[in-house]
Amino acid sequence: MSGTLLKVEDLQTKFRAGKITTLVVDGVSLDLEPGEIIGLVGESGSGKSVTMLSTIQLLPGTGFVSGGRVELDGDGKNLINYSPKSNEMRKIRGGRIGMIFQEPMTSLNPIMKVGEQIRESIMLHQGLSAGEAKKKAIEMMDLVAIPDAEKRYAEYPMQFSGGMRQRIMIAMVLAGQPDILVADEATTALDVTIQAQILETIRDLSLKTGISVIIVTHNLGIIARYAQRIYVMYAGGIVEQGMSAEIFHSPQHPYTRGLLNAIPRLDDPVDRVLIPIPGMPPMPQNRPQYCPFYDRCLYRHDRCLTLPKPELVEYEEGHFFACHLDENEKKAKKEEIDRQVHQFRPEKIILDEVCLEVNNLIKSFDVTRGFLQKKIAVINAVDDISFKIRKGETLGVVGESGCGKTTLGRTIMRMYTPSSGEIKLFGTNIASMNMREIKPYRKQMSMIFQDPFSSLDPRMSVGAIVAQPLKISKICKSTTEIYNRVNELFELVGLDTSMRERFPHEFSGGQRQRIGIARALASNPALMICDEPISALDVSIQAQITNLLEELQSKFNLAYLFIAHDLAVVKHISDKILVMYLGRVMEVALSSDIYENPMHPYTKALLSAVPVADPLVEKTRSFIGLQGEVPSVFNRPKGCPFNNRCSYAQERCFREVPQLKEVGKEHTMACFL
Amino acid sequence: MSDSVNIIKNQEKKRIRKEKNKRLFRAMFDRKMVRVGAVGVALFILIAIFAGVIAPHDPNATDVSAILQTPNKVHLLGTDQYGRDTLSRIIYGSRISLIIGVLAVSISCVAGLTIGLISAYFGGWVDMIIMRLCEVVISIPAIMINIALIAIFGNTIYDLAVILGISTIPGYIRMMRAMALNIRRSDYVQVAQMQGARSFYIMLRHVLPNSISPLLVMMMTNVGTTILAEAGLSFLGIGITIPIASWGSMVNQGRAYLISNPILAIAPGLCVSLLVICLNTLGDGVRDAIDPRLRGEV
Repeated sequence: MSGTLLKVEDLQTKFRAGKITTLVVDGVSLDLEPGEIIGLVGESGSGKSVTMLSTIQLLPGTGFVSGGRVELDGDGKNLINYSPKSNEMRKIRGGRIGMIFQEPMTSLNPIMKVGEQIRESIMLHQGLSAGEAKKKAIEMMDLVAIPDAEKRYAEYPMQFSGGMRQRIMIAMVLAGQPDILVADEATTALDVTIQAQILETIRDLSLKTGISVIIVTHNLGIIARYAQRIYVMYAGGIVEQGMSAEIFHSPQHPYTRGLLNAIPRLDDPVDRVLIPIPGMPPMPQNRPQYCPFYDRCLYRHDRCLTLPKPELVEYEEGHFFACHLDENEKKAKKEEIDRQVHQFRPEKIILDEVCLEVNNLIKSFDVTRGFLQKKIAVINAVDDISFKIRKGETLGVVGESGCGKTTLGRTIMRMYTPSSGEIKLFGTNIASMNMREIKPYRKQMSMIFQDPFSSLDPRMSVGAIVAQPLKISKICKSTTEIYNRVNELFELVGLDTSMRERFPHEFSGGQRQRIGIARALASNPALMICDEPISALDVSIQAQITNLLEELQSKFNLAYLFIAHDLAVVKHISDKILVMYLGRVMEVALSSDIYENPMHPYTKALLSAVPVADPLVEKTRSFIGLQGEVPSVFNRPKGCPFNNRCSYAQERCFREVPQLKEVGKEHTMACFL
Repeated sequence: MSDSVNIIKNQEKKRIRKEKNKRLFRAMFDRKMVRVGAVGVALFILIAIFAGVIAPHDPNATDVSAILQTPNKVHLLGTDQYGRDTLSRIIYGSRISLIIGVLAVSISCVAGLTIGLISAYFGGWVDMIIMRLCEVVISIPAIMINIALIAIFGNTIYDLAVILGISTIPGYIRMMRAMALNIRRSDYVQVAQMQGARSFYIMLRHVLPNSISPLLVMMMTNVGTTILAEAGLSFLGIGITIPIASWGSMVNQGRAYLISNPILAIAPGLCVSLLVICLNTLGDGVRDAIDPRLRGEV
């Protein structure tokens, strides 16, 4: 153990496309001490994954490392000098540096037992016999907290949930006994609760085995909770680095400040204003000679344009940032920005008129099997849900995936026919109407989807996409009327009307989501169902869309049903929050109440799983690890649906289903406690 | 005032439409291969139309004094075993082959798309029955079906086109159905449903345009296979009635003289290949041009 474990210096990576080579990673330096957990944070396209792949020379396609040094243990050997296919490099991958990726499904061989996959990895790296390796594999599975390791050794990947698969991946990586574990967005695809479980496991491993960890992510909360040191990446370079607490408490680079201003936090005050970072990060091929953040920078100065790209300079010990501005300039600018902030927040008016009222809504699906479609079970995806949304109000719906949030939204949109219950739109019950009767009511509600790529028809111009609801519901009669209305909608969502003849693929994710919002607004709806509208977007773009939604709400008194798994965002945008679990309501409360005074054990566990982007706050929070995962629809617990994961469960919880009861002002929950 | 604004707007819209057409045209013909393909296909069509003017001899006139000649000044591509001029027969044969190829593919494509869409859309029993019928048709060798149908309907050019078309319908049905099922699940189709769009509208506006690319490729390849399938029927003596020339039947007849006079089989065979290559390049161009994602990338 002599000094730095991994030292990367001035790493440069290029990608070749035809005759043109593009510099993707532009001079990244970082180091990692034994046993340390560091975070590499940045938006998509910032080059964080490519940086990590470059260190083990495992670049996809036409990528190649064009310069720099990568050194392990300070032994003076530059790994870049080895050919990517050399034996030395192969030994380092897996043997010294192990990586886990976002998609655990594609990383595992679906037709091989998981235990054997781990065993093979152990045999390869540690040269043990099959019998010894099997024992070791089970040990590994225990280590990454897979329950019943011995039994589950012989199961196939499809029998595991996403979180469990990710644990298996970690076990496989550990089999090589690496000194460094790189987790590249390893928990991004998972639920917050599972994400917390996995990251806790990784941290425990680091403490137990002394393995160093590099967490690569876009999520600042995770970084704040788990990383000791942080590197912030932008446009292929490090813009700021330092100890976790310093980065969060005295961020020096305008980009770091921008990110922190753009993300909502669980502990935000009610009137918190998000300040989005305007525009988009530059594509690697069009990065400017000057500071790459200049075009989006709120602090920018004219001289930034004439000076070359800024180098990292030391601010305090161990805290570096790359910016031309001096302290006084930044201070003055910050005050100016703070003054302007309050103009951003649109006024919130909630009217008394109830827009949507849902009473005892149940949507069940039959599970059938065999040729004759025999009914073997009935599943209540939405089970006895009631709520009201007034005009101008936002109701947030949260819960882990598989809890029926999306089904709820789609049932209200009448994509599904409810099994029973009422859906009242301004007093008219649309729950049992047939498709023809319901048509006139369709224009009063619309939906925004999660994936801005699949929700727009790639063969239609965006103008035609936005015009579609106008044509279908025959709101506009003449083509001129449609033409004008589409222009108006484009302006409303902040898109240039000259872009209307373009096609969806020519737009970025954020712009596509704007198009989706314009389409949803076209028929002048009173109710908008937003199904994870921002979770597919980059951090800096999320704030732009959140603010747009708030602005539109105050302009048109829209009622929102906001479905999301990101509690911080839901808390920021919602007036009331409904916590759902296995199709049932667990708790409903004002959004400020739910954070300060959560009553239901499930709500408490959910909240504690969400990391807050502030290391100091994180230290004071107690973590209630939510055990296990959402049970499959086939074996729902009897009694309270949450009983098998609840640490307070009593005998009664297994017999009776708790009903919602009043526990405070506009605060109800379903628990016997 | 508002009238003049409207007039300006209308002009603007016309300009945009013109621009769009221009873009489409440019996207198609900016590719060199597409230009070659288009010129080739046009040439074949012109030859077929003006066969009577171009052909140097009567395609069916026999000349016992000049059988199985190799290419010479009078007969540019030589003569066959009855002394008929090969070049003239190829020129006239283009009519038959083009008509059968294009007509058969059009018939099977239109029928296949419609049935495939219906099958995907209605699902359930309708889908089940259509798919099982497709499997029945596919499980019987195409040549058997063709023979049976010819026995029923006869063997004029148009009969043959319809018959050859019918046997390829299941392929289109299955392709269309698979595409439609996939697209029907996409979010943008659900958006349209939530707006209250009719199924017919969704099928026409979303499903069909988004599934056209693979179908276009399939169509272009099928023109070639159909022309050759006609040859297969001629070989069995149930294709085009003798002595009418078709490329397929010419390849067949020339087969017997492959060693002594290879040009007899090679020349019409080459024509089939050339036509298929031209159609394919043109088809690829059309496919890329109507796909907004590929437009403009040459």
